[in-house]
Parts: sequence; structure tokens; C-alpha cells
Amino acid sequence: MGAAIAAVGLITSVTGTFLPWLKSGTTTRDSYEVLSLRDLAGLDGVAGGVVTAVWVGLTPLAMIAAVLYVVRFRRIAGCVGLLFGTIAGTVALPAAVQGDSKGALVGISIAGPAVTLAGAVLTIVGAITVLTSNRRSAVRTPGGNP
Amino acid sequence: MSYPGGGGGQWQPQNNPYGQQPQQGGYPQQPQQPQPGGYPQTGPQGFPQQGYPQTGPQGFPQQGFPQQPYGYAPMGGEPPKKKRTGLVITAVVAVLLLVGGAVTFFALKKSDPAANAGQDTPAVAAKNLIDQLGSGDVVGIMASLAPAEAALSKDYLDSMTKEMKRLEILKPDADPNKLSGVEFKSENIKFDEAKAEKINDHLTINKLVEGKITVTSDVSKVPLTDKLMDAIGDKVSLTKSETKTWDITAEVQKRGAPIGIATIKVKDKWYPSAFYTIANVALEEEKLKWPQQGFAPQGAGSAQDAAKQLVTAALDGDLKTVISLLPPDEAGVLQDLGPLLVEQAGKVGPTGAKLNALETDVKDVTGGKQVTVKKLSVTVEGDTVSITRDGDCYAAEVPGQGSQKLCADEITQLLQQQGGGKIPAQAVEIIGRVAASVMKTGVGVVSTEVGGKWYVSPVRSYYELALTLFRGFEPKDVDALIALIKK
Repeated sequence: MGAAIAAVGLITSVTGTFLPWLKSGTTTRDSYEVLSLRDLAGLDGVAGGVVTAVWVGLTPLAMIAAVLYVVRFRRIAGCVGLLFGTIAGTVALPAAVQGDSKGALVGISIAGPAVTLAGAVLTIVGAITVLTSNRRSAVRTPGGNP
Repeated sequence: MSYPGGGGGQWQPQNNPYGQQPQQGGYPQQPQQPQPGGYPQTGPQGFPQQGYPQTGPQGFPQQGFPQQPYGYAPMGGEPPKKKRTGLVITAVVAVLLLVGGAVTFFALKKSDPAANAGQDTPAVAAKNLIDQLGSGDVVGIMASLAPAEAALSKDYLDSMTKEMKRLEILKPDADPNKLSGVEFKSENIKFDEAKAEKINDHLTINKLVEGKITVTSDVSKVPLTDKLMDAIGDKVSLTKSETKTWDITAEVQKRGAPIGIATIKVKDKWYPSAFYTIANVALEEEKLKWPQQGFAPQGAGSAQDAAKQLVTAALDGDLKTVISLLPPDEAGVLQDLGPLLVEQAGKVGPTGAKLNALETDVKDVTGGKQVTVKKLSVTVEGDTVSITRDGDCYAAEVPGQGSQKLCADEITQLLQQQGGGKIPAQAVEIIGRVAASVMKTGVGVVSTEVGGKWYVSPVRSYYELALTLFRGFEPKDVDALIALIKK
């Protein structure tokens, strides 16, 4: 069950990153297009590179979590999922809380941050479920494997 | 919950109905105990397992290899079924890698700043600008402008907004990136590509011939502070938005010529340029043509040298060197217009003044280095005037008048004495404070580095001076101004 929740969360989060995050006039931009404007936001140089690497790295991170789960490294998969949810949620939460900038020519678009945040929450819940269920399993099989 | 492989058994070891210990590595195994009801368990091949332990590699998926029961060979009947656990896992992993890789590649491509870095042709660059203008895409406009122009806008928008907030002109939560109170809309914008005018290898004037641009402004949405809104409330309508439509088609018919939108080439990409577009409008107004060849930039080895060379060239009346010492990125338009500007200026002779010494202080400012005067000595018609700065005090040596010293904190007192009580006390205080701010910061120019050479930036120098003046004001000065407006 935890895995299914986490899987939905990962997909939702990654989908959210491709939904509108910034509106400028009638034009909207997804989170990656916003990152491409990092020079304008003063995030040039190393800081901009790190922020981009971390955010673009979310999809590979989601993929790694899924692959680890499939090949049955579940606890590690749960930890990676937790990391994914934390990063995505940390970025999406302030944006989603600030909400739609109605009346402003340039502002945050709520769709992307809200969906990403929802996905991050699901991922974290799913990852915790996977981690705790594995822990319970370990407790119930004292002595480990023969 | 079922998992791939392992014959569809429950994954969690505690759920094993047979009480069997889980295999190492967590991989599933066919249960060896007899099935409830006394039926013999069958292996993947459909043959009875005969109580022999499974011999497949432990801890690895069984990759579909059938396990042969000891002592028995397959005998007729159904061919053995291959176990597909490993295959399924491999397929799932492959699909995940493929999808994840594709999404990551797509995301990387979209997040690359190069995605906004100009266009391949001048026509596309110009059209993009108009489209962005029409959709009110301020961010897009900022990103697609020529890099040096975009950097200028960005660098000073934040600084000016900060000062406006400090002076309580803008609300504390005003965001310079959220341009409130204005909307743009464009319709049927068309360029005549055949009429595009190629001035030189890096400048093309695109011809806008049709369309409409509508601008709707709403003052009430501008993040001005309440006290300022109250003050201007009587002068402007705060409740109604105003809409103005710019009919390009009608304007072109009226002018008898298309509207030029300049695009410039920077590192093999084309960008719309506000500076070149303004210059083109000015040339059209004066019925002048772009020079075929501009002045080559001529930078200095350091920020101080650039400032010194500029002062020397200005005193010598050498307009060409002055223009050549301007940054080729920000002020390239002046260098392209250089021969025409020199021609229009007519013959400019030397001022007769000679620079004897120029010592400077240098400090970092946004986008460059500010070079301020520390000591200046100039000889004019045989008389040498020297000005020396010491902290926020200036000492001047003037022939026949000896040495005079003035410090920032003496300005107000001096104004009161010189004004003889005619200047309102509030005005004396404001002027004194602003002048003191300039004296403390120092007067100078901003030099920028382009391609390893230093140039003097007129726009950045102007902005830094404006910021210095702003920093001399206080919120109560704005209140005084508001009181004046209300009278």
C-alpha cells in the first residue's frame, strides 16, 4: 500500500514540476522554464547551477526510488522517496502558500506548486509506510534469515 | 499486495502461510510445503517437486531457468514453463530508466538558460518581442532582450525598488518582478520580412507593418503606499482602469513607413534591442541613416585607467576616443552611431584644460567598479586647480583664493548662511542631507569589464548617481513633498 501511495506521489510531483509555476502576463512557465531564467533572478554562477541540478535531479531521484523498490531494496527506496518528497515539498510549499498573484502582471501560478506539493506529501507518506512496514517485518522475523 | 516474481505469493515474509523462513536477499521461492488439501506442490515446470529443496541460486531472480527435479528428466507432457520474474523486473527497470531519462533530458533542455538566449534570425527575435509584449510577458521580454540591456534593467530595478520602499513610496511587500497595474494585449502583429533592413553584420532593422497593441493600466493596483495614494487620489482616477490602443496599421499609414524594431547579433544569436530601436526612431525622425562603419571599442587596462582616459579625451575634445571608451555591450549603439554623432557635433576643439593628476578610489558596485575622485588637478589657462578628497571632506586649492575645505556636515550650515533665511528650513535640511550623501559616497563613474578590457558605462554611472541621491532622502522628505502636492 505504501509503495502504491509513494508511486502516485512520485508521478504527481514530477507532473507538477511541468505545470505552470510562474505567470507573466498571459504566459505561464513551468518550473524548468523558470529555472532557465535564473540569471534574471540573480541566481547565476555556482548557486544557480546547484539549484538547477537539485531540481532537475528530482526526476532521476524518483526513478532511482522506483528502480530500487522494484529490485527489492525497499528500505533504501523508502529513504530515497523521503528525500525526494522533502526536496519537492520544501520548494513547492512556500510557492503554494504564497498562492496566485492575482492582479500582478508577473507572479506565482498556483497549479504547479500545489500539484507538486500534493505529490510530495503522498511520496513522504508512502515512503514512511514502506519504511515502517519493512521495520515491522524485521521485528517479526527475529534471528533474521537462515 | 503481490509483487513480481515468486509465483505471485505474498511478499512480506510474515505473511508466508507456510511458516517458511524467507530466502536471503528477499527473493521469492516456491513454497516447498504440501499445499493445503494434500495436493502435492508443483514447481514452475508443472512437475512435482518431490520434496527436494529448490536449487536455484539464492538471492537472485531465477531468470526463467527451469529447475530440474533431482533424478527425474522431463518426460513428455507440457513443455516446461519459463519463470519470467527476472525478465519482468528487467523490463520494468528498463522502462523506468527510459521514461526517467527522457523526462530528465526534457527538463534539462527546458532549464537551460540558452533556451532564452536569443534567436537564430532577426525576424524571429523581433516577432518574439512583439508576441511577448502582446501577452504582457514581462519576464519573457527581460529574458529575450539583448543580454547587456537585460542585465542593466535587472541590476537597477531591484536597487531602485529597495530605495522606493525605504522612502515609503512603494509598499513594503512590493515586488519589483510583479509589475502590477498594467496589462498588454497584441493582435494580428505582422512584420514585412522582405523590407527588413540589414545595416551591418550585427544589426538588422525589422519592419513592423500591421497589428494592434492594447495597454490597460490601473493605478489602484500599483503598490504605492496608502499615504501616496491619498495624495494623488485627487489627481488621478483610482477606480477606473484606462485602456489605450496603439493601432500599428494606422500608424504605419500615417507615417508612410513601417515601424522599425532593431535586433542585434550577440554571439551568433539575435536579440531585440531597446537602445538600438530608440536610436533608429531618432534617426528616422531626423531623416538620417545609420553609418556603414562604427567606431571600434578601445578599452583600458583597469577601471581607473578607463576613467582617466575618458577624462583626458573629454578635456581634449576627442569625441571619438570618448565613444570608443564606452562599453561595447551596453553602449554599442553609440559606437555604431559614432561617426554620425561626431559629424553632428561638428568640430569640437580641445577645452584648453590639462589634466595634471587624477587619483581615484575604487569600490565594487553592481555590475562593475565605481571609480571616485580622490585627487584631481587640472590646469586651465595657466591656472592650476586642485581638489582633494579626505573622507567626506573636500579641499580645493584655487589660485588667488588659497585653500578651502568643505565637509559633508557643514553643507546645511553653509546653505543657511548663503540662503539668508530665504530658503525654507525644511528644504535646507533636505538639500544639505542629499549633498552630504553625495560627498560621503564620492562623485565618479562606473567602469565595466568586457572581454578583458575596462570601459566607462554612462548608464551605470547615471544610475549610481541617482541611487546616491536617493540615499540622501528620508521618508519624512516624501511626506513634505506630499504636503506640497496637497496644497
